Amino acid sequence: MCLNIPGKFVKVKKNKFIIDYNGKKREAILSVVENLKIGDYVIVSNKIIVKIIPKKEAIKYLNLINDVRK
Amino acid sequence: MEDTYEGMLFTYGITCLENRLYRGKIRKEDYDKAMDYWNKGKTPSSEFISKILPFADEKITEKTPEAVERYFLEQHNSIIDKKEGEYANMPDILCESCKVLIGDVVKIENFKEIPYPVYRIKYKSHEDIAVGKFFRDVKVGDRVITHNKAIVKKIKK
Repeated sequence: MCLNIPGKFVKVKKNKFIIDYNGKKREAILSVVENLKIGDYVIVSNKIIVKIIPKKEAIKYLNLINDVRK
Repeated sequence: MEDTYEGMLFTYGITCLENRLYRGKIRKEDYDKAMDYWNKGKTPSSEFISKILPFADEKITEKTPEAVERYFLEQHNSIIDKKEGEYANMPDILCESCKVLIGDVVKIENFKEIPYPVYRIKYKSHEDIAVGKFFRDVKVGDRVITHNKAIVKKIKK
């Protein structure tokens, strides 16, 4: 199953987008979404930011994951 | 890739492996091994396929490439829509990104930052991007199958 984890776009560093996944940071090297801003929750696929996720939906997912892990 | 059950399941499933890695569903060493198989054009064993793609492997009881195609083109999206398995309780917007879709290539872009093309695909109800990380022998006008925003294969119109 291919569910993608949403992460929070926190900054640009050396022309790369830094995405925070609950403390773990990964890079995206390209974005194809419009109006991306710092603080947005995004989906990254194959190192490309492909979608902005409404914060409410992202938090819902992240809370579900945390409940499963408890 | 071999035209076998394992080859076809690997072809469809490889687009998901990075997500599965980040969600802790497969180990890094298995992810690296899978990428190595792919890059060398080799088909993994049925044991390895079962390890990295257990849900699909269990669902597809007839171990033929045709059954794999039927699963991904007919059942896979239905499982998502019904919110079965790991999709249970997940937001629709995240589930939609996982679907297997058929669309036509309308634009091809190459970016210096990434080593594979990015395609603009026109689907029945919308347009979206898909990457040519795993399959890139396509041109504008071609009809393709995509899975998790990556091109899986080209098909006839």
